[in-house]
Amino acid sequence: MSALLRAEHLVKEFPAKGGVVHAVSDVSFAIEAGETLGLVGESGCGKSTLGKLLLDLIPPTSGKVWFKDQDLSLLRGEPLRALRRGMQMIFQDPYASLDPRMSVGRIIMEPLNAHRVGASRRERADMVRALMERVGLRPEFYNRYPHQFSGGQRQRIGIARALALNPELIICDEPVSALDVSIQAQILNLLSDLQAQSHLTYLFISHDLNVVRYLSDRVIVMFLGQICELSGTEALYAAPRHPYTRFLLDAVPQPDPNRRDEARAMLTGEVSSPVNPPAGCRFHPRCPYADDRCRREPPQLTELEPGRLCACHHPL
Amino acid sequence: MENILEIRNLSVSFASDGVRERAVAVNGVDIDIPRGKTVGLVGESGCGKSVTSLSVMGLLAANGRVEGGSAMFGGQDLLKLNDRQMRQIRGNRISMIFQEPMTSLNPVIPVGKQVAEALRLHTGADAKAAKVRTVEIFGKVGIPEPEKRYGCYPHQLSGGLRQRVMIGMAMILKPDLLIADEPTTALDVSIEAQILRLMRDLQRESGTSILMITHNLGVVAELCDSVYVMYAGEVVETAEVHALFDACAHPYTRGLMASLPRMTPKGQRLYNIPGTVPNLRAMPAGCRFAPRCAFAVERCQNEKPPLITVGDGHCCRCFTPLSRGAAPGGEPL
Ligand SMILES: Nc1ncnc2c1ncn2[C@@H]1O[C@H](COP(=O)(O)OP(=O)(O)OP(=O)(O)O)[C@@H](O)[C@H]1O
Ligand SMILES: Nc1ncnc2c1ncn2[C@@H]1O[C@H](COP(=O)(O)OP(=O)(O)OP(=O)(O)O)[C@@H](O)[C@H]1O
Ligand code: SF4
Ligand code: SF4
Ligand SMILES: [Mg+2]
Ligand SMILES: [Mg+2]
Repeated sequence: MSALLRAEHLVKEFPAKGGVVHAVSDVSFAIEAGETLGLVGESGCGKSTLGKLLLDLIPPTSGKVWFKDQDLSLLRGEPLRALRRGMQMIFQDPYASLDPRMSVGRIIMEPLNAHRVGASRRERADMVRALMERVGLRPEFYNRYPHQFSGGQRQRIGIARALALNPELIICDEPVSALDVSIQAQILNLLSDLQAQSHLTYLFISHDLNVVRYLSDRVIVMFLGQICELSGTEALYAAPRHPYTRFLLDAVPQPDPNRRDEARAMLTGEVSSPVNPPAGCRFHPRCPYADDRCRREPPQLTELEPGRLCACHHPL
Repeated sequence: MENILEIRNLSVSFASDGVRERAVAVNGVDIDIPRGKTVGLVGESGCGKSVTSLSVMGLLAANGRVEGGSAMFGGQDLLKLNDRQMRQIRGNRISMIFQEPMTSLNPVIPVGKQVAEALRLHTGADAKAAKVRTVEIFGKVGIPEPEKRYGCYPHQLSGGLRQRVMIGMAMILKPDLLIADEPTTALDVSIEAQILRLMRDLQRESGTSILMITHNLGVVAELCDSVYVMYAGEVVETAEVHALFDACAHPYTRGLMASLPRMTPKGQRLYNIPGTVPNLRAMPAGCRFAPRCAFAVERCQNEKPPLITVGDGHCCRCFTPLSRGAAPGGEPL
């Protein structure tokens, strides 16, 4: 397998009152062609920011993104545009991300127009209808507006738009978080089918650990702008090595009343602020295993076993 | 067992501009909440969960109307009380927490003051004692630096902290009933776990009964003693929590359970209930779930199934309740 995308020492800081927001702090990893890489972590830990950095939608403070062995920061103009066609994004909120004044057909056609795909408007309209069928929307709905669709249907519109340019990589930013379970299952099945048909690569961002487990080959766990653990999915869920991963897994309410009395590693405390992240290990204020070294020295992401990275002085 | 709240045959409709006929959002709902227990109310978006609780609380939107039914609470029918009487009950004996606690907090008064005020009204404590007790409660519900947070305005707190303020308020008032409408839906799992634990603590200490409205079956499994499943404005199944998760009888409930990506291995398809929920103004004539049901037969299209008893405390609105182990699509699992 070869890396389709590589992130190298990515840093993103935003100016803020009383300092800077350390949204993404020195993050490096690779996404292999054809895999689904899950990305989980609490609200505000930098998942969406990381997704946008990878797609070059916002510039990094420092660090680099390589897509198909090309350094995005060195490209300009047409070569950059051409490369970016290969990467698309699906957003969480199917309501906010679709322009309410545009018909569904026009929304899906927009990227085709922007990249001058197809010989004529007619040809593009046919491509839009084919895309609608692929994501399970009736082509008769071509002239309808987003408000005439349910949440699940709107998410299909977003997926059709992302597929329009035949991307290799799709970054899915919480694509099912706003949907009911039965609709969520439809969209997850659709994403699996599309991946099988078109050899797509996904970065799948979610705070729902059950959904991430179902879809992902490997999973990254993030905390306050940094990677805590990166591992094959089953290994991660069977035996997390980072205390924060353990904590997240314990916190998820499982749909099984027989498990409610299982001891929960109930850590207390609020999510720390990315404006003044704690010194040393950023997780130390909430970690039951924290010692002096953790408060002083930031742990490095190291390989504990093949394919298993963890940033902790005292891995589980 | 004694019930703190008994909702009987509740129906609610809404008017909308330019349409003469009112849309019926809740249709003949019965719910019992036993004293000291937690009852879950689940179902897809739009099935009528919030409308049910809001009508009981006398908080329906202006275009909404209770068409019939009763909600007996301590010998009174809540649906017959006037605004003043209802406000009294809401302040004292029934507390509510919503998904967005901003809606129940006053944005221009510091949160500590709001809780202390409620405490004074409730217990007649003097201002100083009320403040001390409020800070104490803030600490108890896990608000860090409670003295400092006392003077914060709601917008200065995170969603999780605001939700804790609401739970702190409930702990002070020790209501007979707490209605929680998606209280953790907007929160991270770690904060959610803390809030659920606090609700359990509240119940243990004050004997408060809880109506937990959620679409998260994990939350139901974690917290509830019994569960009502709603579909398209009606209760389609009710059972003790273990019975519901081990042997649900309604095809809709079975479909919901099977849609959860809990243990499904990668590459295997998730079950999904085909189609979407029916429009309020175009309800199927027979069983409301029939257009999406894999078990539907002709009778289901024309005749409304009654809620029938299928086990101890277990009722199901279906002509042919499923037996344990049946798959949602009709094939054996
Ligand atoms: N444009 C911006 N300006 C300033 N701060 C920002 C900006 N975008 C994001 N942030 C901050 O960066 C941090 C990371 O935000 P991000 O949206 O990436 O988190 P997330 O993990 O996607 O969270 P969620 O699960 O809530 O979507 C947050 O503290 C956020 O407030
Ligand atoms: N003020 C209103 N006017 C018209 N229709 C309304 C009004 N409030 C609710 N409804 C309708 O009543 C039905 C039930 O709504 P309700 O808010 O109870 O759903 P819910 O089960 O709480 O869903 P969710 O999980 O999305 O909160 C929906 O079809 C909704 O559109
Ligand atoms: S480095 Fe220390 S504080 Fe950080 S997770 Fe590991 S044990 Fe906990
Ligand atoms: S009554 Fe018929 S359509 Fe309705 S749930 Fe039962 S089998 Fe399905
Ligand atoms: Mg995000
Ligand atoms: Mg609701």
